[in-house]
Amino acid sequence: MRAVIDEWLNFIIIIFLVLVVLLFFTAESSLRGAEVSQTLRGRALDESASLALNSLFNNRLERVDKTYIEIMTDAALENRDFVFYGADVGLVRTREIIEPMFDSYLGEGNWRLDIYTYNGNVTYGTLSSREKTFAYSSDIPVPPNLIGKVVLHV
Amino acid sequence: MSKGSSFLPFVFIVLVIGITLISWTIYNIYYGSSYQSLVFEESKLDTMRNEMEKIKGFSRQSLIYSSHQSLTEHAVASGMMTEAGPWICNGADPPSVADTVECLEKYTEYHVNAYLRNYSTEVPIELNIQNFSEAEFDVTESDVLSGAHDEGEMYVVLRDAKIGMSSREIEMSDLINIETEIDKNRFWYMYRIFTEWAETNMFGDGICSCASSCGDCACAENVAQESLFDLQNRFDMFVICDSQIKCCTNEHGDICGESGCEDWIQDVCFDPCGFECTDPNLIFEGPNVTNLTSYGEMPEDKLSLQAAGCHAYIPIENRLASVYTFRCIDYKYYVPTTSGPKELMFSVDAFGTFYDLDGCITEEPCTGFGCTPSSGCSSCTPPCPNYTCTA
Repeated sequence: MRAVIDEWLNFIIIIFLVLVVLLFFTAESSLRGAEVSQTLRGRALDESASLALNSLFNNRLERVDKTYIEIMTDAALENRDFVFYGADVGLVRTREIIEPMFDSYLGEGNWRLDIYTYNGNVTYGTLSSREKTFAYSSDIPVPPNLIGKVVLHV
Repeated sequence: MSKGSSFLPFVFIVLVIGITLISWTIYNIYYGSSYQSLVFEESKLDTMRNEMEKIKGFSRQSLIYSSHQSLTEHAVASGMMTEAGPWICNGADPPSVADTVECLEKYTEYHVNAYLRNYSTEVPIELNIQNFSEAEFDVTESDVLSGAHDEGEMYVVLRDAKIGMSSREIEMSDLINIETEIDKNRFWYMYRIFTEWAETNMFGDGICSCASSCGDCACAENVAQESLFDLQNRFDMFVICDSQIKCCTNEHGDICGESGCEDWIQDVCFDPCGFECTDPNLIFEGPNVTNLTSYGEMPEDKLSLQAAGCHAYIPIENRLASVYTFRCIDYKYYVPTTSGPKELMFSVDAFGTFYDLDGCITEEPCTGFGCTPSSGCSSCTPPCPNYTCTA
């Protein structure tokens, strides 16, 4: 009878150990999965934010023949969100070009873009400044021979 | 016996599980750390690649601003920095396209490198940027004069900047050349029209005519207004021109000369001719027109003609020198400035200085014995023997 009880006890201990090992492996995999997922999400966020920032330097508004960053800088130098480029080109409203582009890249309400020059600052996007965000910034040239900054919060 | 036989499989199973766990842990420590460093290295590489792209974008934008900046500076300084003479120096004397392009390149390179010097990054890497060594405007004289660059449409190239980045584990460097198109800037349009206008030399010829016809600064002002009207008519409706006097002087010199209109070398009202591209200043103060100083007009000639029955016509040398600034503003395209986009202003000086030995002619009564005029260098009309001179 005692031998039977011992056998059962051993069997239960073995089952318990196997369960512990299984749990350990599962927990380890979940942790690794979470880490990988976080890394991937981080890299995806980095990529999309960098892409969005770089696109400001590369995208040109055909009607004006100027890059988006130039239009934003020119507007910020006048401390407003529109800029007049002469009798032939007319008025350009910067919100109408910047906000749809960033909405399509990052989703509406998920971003805020601040542009700083020595003469004025302009903010685009609706992401609240109270929310916890990641910030990506880049220096921008501001005439004459000075530096401004564009900061993207996501 | 039965107790021992039941214990052994248990020990065996515990050992197997123990060895599996230890192997797993060792494997993970090794693989995990190498995976971690790989991910870290990859992300650092990514960061550096992104930074490199940012610098390229920044450089391209700097080139756009610097090109506009140079064009604006050159436009306001008679197409040449900084020792820019008049475009009309008695005759037409505009700076050549090649000289202007060379100077534009020098200033554009300077401005771009000034922007790059101020560039900084928040990423924890060591950044080393070596300046661009050459800027090139793809602009030729024939293209300018044919109007090919009237709306801008010119390519500007920057060459040979070296960007180096390094962190503890990774080093990265790249040699960058940047090309961009400068549009919607009518510098060359204004240059072309001003050149065509200067070539007709309406201003120089007009001042010469004034000198030859006893004209004074009022005559010079009329010439300036006619030249301005001619200049304005050459531009389209987006350009508005005006003129301002910088200097005018009028004198009378020797009498009895008979020469035609000649260049008058003087230093009262003098604008040195010729162009020289000086090195850029360290501080750019923005487009600004030189304050124009009016020296006022010289007192009018007080010589009055005398009506006399018998008189002599005596030539008097007339000297006239005048400098005007002709300024045109293009409202079609605004260009970048320190306070946002503004209209492009092109400013040019015109300089005319002439004398004519018989520019003025005065009448003098023939008086005294021998019936000669008091100045004595012209015969009396009608001739004295047939005419009684009045007292």
